[in-house]
Amino acid sequence: MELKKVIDRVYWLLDKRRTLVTLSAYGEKSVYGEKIFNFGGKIYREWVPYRSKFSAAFYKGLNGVDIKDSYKVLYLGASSGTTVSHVSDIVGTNGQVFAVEIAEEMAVNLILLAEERNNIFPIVDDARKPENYKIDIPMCDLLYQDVAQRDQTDIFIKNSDLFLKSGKIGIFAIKTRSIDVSTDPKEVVRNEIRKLRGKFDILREINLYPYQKDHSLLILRKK
Amino acid sequence: MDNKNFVLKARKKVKEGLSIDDLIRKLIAFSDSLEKGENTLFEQLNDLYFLYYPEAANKLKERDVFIKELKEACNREDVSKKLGISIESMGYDLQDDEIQLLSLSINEINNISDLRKIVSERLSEIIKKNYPNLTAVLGSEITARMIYLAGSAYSLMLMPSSKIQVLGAEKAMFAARRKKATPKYGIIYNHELVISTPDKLKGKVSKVIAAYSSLAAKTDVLSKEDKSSKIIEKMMKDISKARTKNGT
Repeated sequence: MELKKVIDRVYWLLDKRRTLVTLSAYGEKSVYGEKIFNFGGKIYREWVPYRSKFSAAFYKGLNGVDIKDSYKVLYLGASSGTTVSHVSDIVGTNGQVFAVEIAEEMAVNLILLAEERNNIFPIVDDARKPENYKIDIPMCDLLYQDVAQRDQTDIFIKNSDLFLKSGKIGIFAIKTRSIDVSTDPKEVVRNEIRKLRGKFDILREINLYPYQKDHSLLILRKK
Repeated sequence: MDNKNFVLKARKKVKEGLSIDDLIRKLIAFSDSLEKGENTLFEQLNDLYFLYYPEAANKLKERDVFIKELKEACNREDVSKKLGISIESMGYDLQDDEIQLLSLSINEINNISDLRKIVSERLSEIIKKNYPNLTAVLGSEITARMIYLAGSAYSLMLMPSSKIQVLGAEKAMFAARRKKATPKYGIIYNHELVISTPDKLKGKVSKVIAAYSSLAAKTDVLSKEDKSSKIIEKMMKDISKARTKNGT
């Protein structure tokens, strides 16, 4: 077994097959049933591509994102906190992850996670209405969005206007099925990119098949 | 910066956000699972019993009858007396231990069956108490299912009645995007007034019922008053109009 660095605190664990892992910032507890590796006295958590779109993007060839220690991250659509826990690993104990989730039942797990990991700041609110949580959140270094809504692009633009520093990265998971079921997924992504062009540079577009169906991940830089 | 305030605020919001609709949704899912489990277990157990006493199993193909007749005793002596059939059987002779296992399993299905009845009773009480107008228009079972499909009574209220009419027929609705005709009814099809209508007019009647359930949902969610008698009176008038227009 050996480790190969991808970005800070994210590694490929090379054995018979490669496994993406993050260096755990909060001990050896498994959050959602992922495997825990003890390697060279440090603890690594497996980052499962079938559970997390961010992880799937690394498996599909993403090799660098501007996310590192002490970063402030705004995470929209946190769900039960699967990906959030890994983002919290990456930014470390000095970083902050503001996790927004609207569904109460999903948010329960997120809140319980935040009680263990105090760099996660749970917000139970609608990402469509960023003015509701505007006072609580500072400008962020990274915006990650994964909400399966028809107006997800508008939500992304609205939040990036308010919270994302210019020149910083936005990661945007597009679920093509939520926007339009009847048109071709490629066409849908193209349309959404057209809307984003005015405010962002499109760095990469990654199709997450076979790890996630009908999903694309866009890496954007705010102008 | 400490995340304690965020956690406290979020905890409070979750507590405030949960409502009776969540209970309804979960109970209906639970009751569905119970019914499914009951059916699967019954099928397997009937098959098992067939091995021991095929003559009796052949007569007890209905789930509820099977449970009722066999829950006290399931050995050949007692069952043959009860059903009035010969004790001579083509089946395989089981040991006492296995017969005991059979009767234990039958009792377990009986318990599940009782539990399901209690759950659905409680569910219909909750529905009746919280959504009197919708219950009057649709009946408690369909109301519960509507709330389940819509997610909450609030989102049901926001729906146009044409959507309420086809709620539960999503598959047919999506098929209609390619060529096929749009569905005329979803779960509203199980409404007693739709069932009693001749096939040709079912679409019309379900349209009327959908319109009034939309009205009832709005009354339930927004004013919370019980105006069911008024709504029902108007609805019956419209339904009889829809039925007579085509001369049936």
